[in-house]
Amino acid sequence: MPDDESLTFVLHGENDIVPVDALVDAVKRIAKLVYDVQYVAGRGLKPRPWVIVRLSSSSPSITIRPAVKSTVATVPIVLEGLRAVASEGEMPAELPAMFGEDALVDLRRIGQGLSKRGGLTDITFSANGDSTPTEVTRIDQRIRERVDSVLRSGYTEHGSIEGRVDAIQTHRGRWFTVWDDVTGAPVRCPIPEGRFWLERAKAALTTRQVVSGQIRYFGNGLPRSITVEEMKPLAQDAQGPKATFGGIPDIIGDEDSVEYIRRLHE
Amino acid sequence: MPKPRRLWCSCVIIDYLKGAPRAKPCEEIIDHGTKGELEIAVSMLAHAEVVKVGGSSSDEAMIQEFFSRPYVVSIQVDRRVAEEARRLVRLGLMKKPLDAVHAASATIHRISVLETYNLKDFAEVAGQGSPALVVREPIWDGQGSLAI
Repeated sequence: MPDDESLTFVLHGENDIVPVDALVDAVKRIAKLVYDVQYVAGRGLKPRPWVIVRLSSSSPSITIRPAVKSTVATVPIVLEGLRAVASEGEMPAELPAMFGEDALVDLRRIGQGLSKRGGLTDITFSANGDSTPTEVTRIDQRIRERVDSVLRSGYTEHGSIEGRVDAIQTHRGRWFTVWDDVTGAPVRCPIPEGRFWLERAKAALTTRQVVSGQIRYFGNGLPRSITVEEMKPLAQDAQGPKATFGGIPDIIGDEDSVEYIRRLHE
Repeated sequence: MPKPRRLWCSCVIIDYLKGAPRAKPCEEIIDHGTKGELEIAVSMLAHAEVVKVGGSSSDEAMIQEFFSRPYVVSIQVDRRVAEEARRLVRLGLMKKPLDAVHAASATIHRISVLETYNLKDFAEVAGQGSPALVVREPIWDGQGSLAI
């Protein structure tokens, strides 16, 4: 992470007036968005606290940064996600994998606080709060509609997700998360009813698994959730044979591998 | 942080297991994978193509062991990959749909390096995708493409 990672947001109100309640709500919701993105970018590591490094009162402007140096660059993901969702047109193809479902819900909540009569009208986000702002993105009331469109988009397919199992949740719903090896996205897996699946999920915690079932994707192909039908470990047998160079010398006999594959593909 | 990622075609894995002299650089690539410095992406299609017909359970265990390594990332042949493969064939960039599945696995997942010994059949797909796809034989050059 860059040492100077920081996020600045400027709140704009109707007639240049920003009510205290709207400011407090917006700060809470933006902080939650930042923490949720940081959690995903850190692949489940507990988010570190962020601190305020600059406050300006003309149009209330707040700059925050992580309290301690982290290896996770959160601000670029937040800004890229905001920019992707705020952009006009179809489902944003460039929505970053780390800007997941929780971040989208957070953004929707931020949007709920915009355009209330007498409240906030829009918020401008940027990086490099202490120097020249970069990657400036502005969101207004239309962001809710954009988030809804992203959340509504997508498709389902039967398949499997491979990755590390993490974060079992048993209150306010039962689910665990599998961190998709391919995209790095957290994929939510509702735990089927009964003790059997709960125990399997617990046993799978922190291990790599193949989780099969009905996968729900965002419109840009990022996996979002999977209805679990089967789980099996991707464990390596420490005692078993290893695939070394030349480990199976006669795997295709004397045939050239390119010709062999060509023949398979005929 | 994302790790550099390269995609291997089935012929590369076969040559590695076979011990073909040209696959010697794969050892170094794997060594860096083991150290957590890079990832090797493979299409799920490779799981079916890398096979020892009539092989022993030990051969099969070895193949399974390779595909279950933490730095070997297996890419589903899902709708997006299949549609991209169809696009590559339709545009004449790939001749065979199954070859196209390997190429599409790279372009869809923004993997900028596809390593194969079949440079001829993959020649036209070079430059596709974002970042632009590089097609080459396996080589350890100290870096790879960044998985995004």
